[in-house]
Amino acid sequence: MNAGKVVAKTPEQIEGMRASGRLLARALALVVEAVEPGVTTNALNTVADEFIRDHGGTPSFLGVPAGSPGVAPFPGSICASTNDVIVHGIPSGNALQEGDIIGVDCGVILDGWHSDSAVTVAVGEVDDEAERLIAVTRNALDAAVAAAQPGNRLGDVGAAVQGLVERAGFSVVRRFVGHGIGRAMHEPPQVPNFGTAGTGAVLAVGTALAIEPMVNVGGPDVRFDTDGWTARSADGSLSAHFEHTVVVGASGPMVLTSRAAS
Amino acid sequence: MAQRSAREARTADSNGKSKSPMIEVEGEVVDTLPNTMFLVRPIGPNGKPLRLVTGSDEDEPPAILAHLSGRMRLRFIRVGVGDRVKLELSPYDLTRGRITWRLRNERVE
Repeated sequence: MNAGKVVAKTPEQIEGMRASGRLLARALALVVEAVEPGVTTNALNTVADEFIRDHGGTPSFLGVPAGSPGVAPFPGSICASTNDVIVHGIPSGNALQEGDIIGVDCGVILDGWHSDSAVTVAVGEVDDEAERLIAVTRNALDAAVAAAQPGNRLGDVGAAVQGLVERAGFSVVRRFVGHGIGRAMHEPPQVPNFGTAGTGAVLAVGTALAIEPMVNVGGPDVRFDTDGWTARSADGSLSAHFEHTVVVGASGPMVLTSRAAS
Repeated sequence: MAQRSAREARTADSNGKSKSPMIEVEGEVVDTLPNTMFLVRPIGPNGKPLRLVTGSDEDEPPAILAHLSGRMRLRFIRVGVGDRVKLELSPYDLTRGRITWRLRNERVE
C-alpha cells in the first residue's frame, strides 16, 4: 500500500487544496461550536454535511469503502469518536454526555482536491486526565507539523509525536497512520505517528500530508466493533485524535486546515 | 480519515491464516528440573492460580511442565523457583508449555 510515488504538488495545485482545507476548517469550527451535552452525533454530522454542500464541496467520508470484506461503506460525513473510540466512530442517535470527549474527523472534496482534518473536544466539564490527553494530543500534532520541514524525513514527524506522547505517559496508536493527500484522500506515503528521527523518505517541497496523531491514555492496542469501522482502545481507555492537512513549503510547513485562519 | 497501516495489515493477514494462536499466560516457577525444564503454576490476571485443565476445584490446579525457549537458553536467562514468567501454551496440549519471558520485580518481599 506504500507502493506508488509521492508526487509533489505545484503552487497552483496547492491553492486548490488550500481552498478545500479552508472550507473544511470552517465546517469543523461549526461542528465544534455545536458540541454540547444532549446533542447527538447525527446532529453534528448534519451540521458538517449541510455546510460543506452549501459551499460547493462534497463530504469525502460518506461512502468510503471499508478495508475489509463484508463491511459496508462508511455511512457518515464525519467520524464521531467518543471517549474510548480512537477513530472512525459512526454518527448515531446517541446523545453526548457531560464529561465525554469527542473526536470529530471530517474530509472535503472541493474542485477535486481533498482535505482531511480532525479535532477532539471536551463535552462540558471533563476530568483532568481527559483534559491532559486532549492537550498532549494537540501538542503532538503541533510538534509533528513543526517537524514537516523540507529536507526532513518521515521518521522525524513520527518521532516528534511519539517522543512527546510517551514522555507524557500516554501511548501512540500504531494500527492507523496519516497519509499523503491530494486528488485522493489516501495517497502515498503513509505517515506513522511513531518512528526514528532521521529515517524514512525525505520530505520534498510540495508534499501534501494528512498528519494525525491518535493517542490512548492506556495501551496502544485497537479493537474493532462489529460494525467494522469503530476502532476502540483495547483496554477501554480514553483516546484522542487531532489532524491537519499540511503542505511542506519551501519556507516551512503550511497548515491548510487551520481553524484559526478561517 | 485515518488509513490502516500497511505493515499492520500484512501481519494481520498472515496471523489469520497459517498458525494456530499460542495461548500466553503468566505463571510462577514451583520447581526446577533437569534439562532446563521447570514446573510452573499458571496464574490468572487476578493473581489467583489458573485452572487450564478440568478437575475438581478443591485441589490445586496442576503445574505445567515447561521448557525454556531456545532464545532464553541462548541468552542464558536464569530462572529459579519463585520467579514469575510468561508461558506460551499450545491450544492442543495445555499440560506443557514454553517459558518465553522472565518477569522483573515480581517477587514480593
